[in-house]
Amino acid sequence: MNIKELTKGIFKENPVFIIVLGLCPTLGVSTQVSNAIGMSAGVFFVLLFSNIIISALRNFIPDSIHIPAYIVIIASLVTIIELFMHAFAPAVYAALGVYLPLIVVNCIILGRAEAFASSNTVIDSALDAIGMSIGFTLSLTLIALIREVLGAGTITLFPIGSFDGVLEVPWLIDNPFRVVALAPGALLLMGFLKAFFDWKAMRKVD
Amino acid sequence: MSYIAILITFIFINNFILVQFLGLCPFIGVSKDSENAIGMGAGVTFVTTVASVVTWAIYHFLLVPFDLAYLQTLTFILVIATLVQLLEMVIQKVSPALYKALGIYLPLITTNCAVLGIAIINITNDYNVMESFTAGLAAGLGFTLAIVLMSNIRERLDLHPVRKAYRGMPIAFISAGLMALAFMAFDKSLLTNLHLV
Amino acid sequence: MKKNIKYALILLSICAISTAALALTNSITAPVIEVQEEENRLAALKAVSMGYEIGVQEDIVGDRSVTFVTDLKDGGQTVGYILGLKGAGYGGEMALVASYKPDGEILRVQLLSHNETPGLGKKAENAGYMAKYEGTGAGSEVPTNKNMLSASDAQAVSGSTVTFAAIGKALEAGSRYVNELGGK
Repeated sequence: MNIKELTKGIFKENPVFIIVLGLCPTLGVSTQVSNAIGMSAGVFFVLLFSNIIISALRNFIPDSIHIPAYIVIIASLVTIIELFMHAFAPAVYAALGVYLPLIVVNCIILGRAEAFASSNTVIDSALDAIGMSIGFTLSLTLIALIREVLGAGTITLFPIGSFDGVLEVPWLIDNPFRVVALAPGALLLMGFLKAFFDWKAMRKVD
Repeated sequence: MSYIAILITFIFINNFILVQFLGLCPFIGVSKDSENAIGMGAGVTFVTTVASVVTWAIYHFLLVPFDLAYLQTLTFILVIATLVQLLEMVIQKVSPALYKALGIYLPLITTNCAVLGIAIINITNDYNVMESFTAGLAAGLGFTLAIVLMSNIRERLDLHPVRKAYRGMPIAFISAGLMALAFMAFDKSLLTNLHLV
Repeated sequence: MKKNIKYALILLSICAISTAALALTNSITAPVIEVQEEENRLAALKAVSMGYEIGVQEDIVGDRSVTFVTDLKDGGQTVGYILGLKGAGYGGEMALVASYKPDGEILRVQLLSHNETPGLGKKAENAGYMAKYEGTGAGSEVPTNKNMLSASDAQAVSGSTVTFAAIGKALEAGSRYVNELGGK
């Protein structure tokens, strides 16, 4: 067991900003904080179990058929989370739309299966999955938070009791920068954030 | 919806890359020069078109009659993976020249969100087989349009001084964002004004 | 050859286990999803029914705007209709339910689902938004563009022009549909 496997995904090998994987869902669902959290939960579930299962089966699955085998395992896990979300979190399910089944082709999951789980122990693979998921969740939530606050002037969480789940940001709610909430805003924001992370990495090297 | 409306919708209004972010990974990865971009675009268009028709047929003739719609995601991704393999073998046999041009992109296409995306969108939108075919073709063309434009921008960017931190991917994202801004001129009201809906 | 058979068997067993797991999940979730969708549908119908009795739902195939129709009854007499409507918004298809008087006047409107951008078309989820349409359809025209509203009402829908027009057009088509039913 190696605790480094857990922390590397958060900054050093952050899947979104450093390795730049799994962009479609990152940008597609980041219009609202609640969607970002829902998506992260889905990715966490699929990544954790795919890493565990693939790592446990790593001596059983021959090399020449590993890609189809991984795809079947990942697609099944995605369908399971899809069905459960449809049944028990219908609002999140509706908001995630086509991006939920697309977790199957999310490069993070197949990428971690290939690069890590296929050659490491179950426990290390689980830690790797948890670390990567935390990194993914933080990045996705950060983008969603910036886009929702600037683009709509709200922060949408989940309704609890009498709280309807929507926080309003004064002034911005009446004067939102709508372009940030739209498609171009996502790409521009991704560009600026990536530049920031690259800049930080470069400073470290110097 | 008329076929022209579907074409306009998927090429311009809901452009897979610039509006829906489907297929963004290869878009950023393979758009460094225009030759590669055209190859990738052609490969994706071919696969989205064929996959649209095949997944449509499988959904309506296999999954629905046997009440197995919940196996949609699993079946579609397997069909797409098989299809890409088959295509690779067929192209290799039939046209070695084309294989040489497209060969290296084909394996990447299996995990391209655009392909699985269009297969699922066809089902969600309740398209018939011809509409699915059109949507698949249009989605591929929209992808090609965006990636070719992007590669041209990046080729020119190489000749200009860009701040160190922005070099490579960041400036690519920002260029894509500005392109997306231009694409916002196309919206659903375009279809209404052209009397297509 | 023997190796190939072994590989095929391994893949096959992974597929079989996966499918079994999915079938199990589906058997748990399918009934929940069904109950939930039925509840949503009834809740939406109830929200626009104005307290009248809701009749049997009849699905409409082939109409560009209308997806289903049910009649509203008060003591055995038809006092209106509820229509399921669809329209093309900024982000794609939108589904609405709306109740009408037999002469085509809009009573209540409710948005079921849409893909609009948050902060833009999502304004349509606010309660006051739909009030702009209510009461129109028979005596006065259904507003299908901002210029047909008073200045203060237009302000409330500013920035969601496409969504506003799309809902208006669907409702207008519904109003014509009800008129053709002619209070049957």
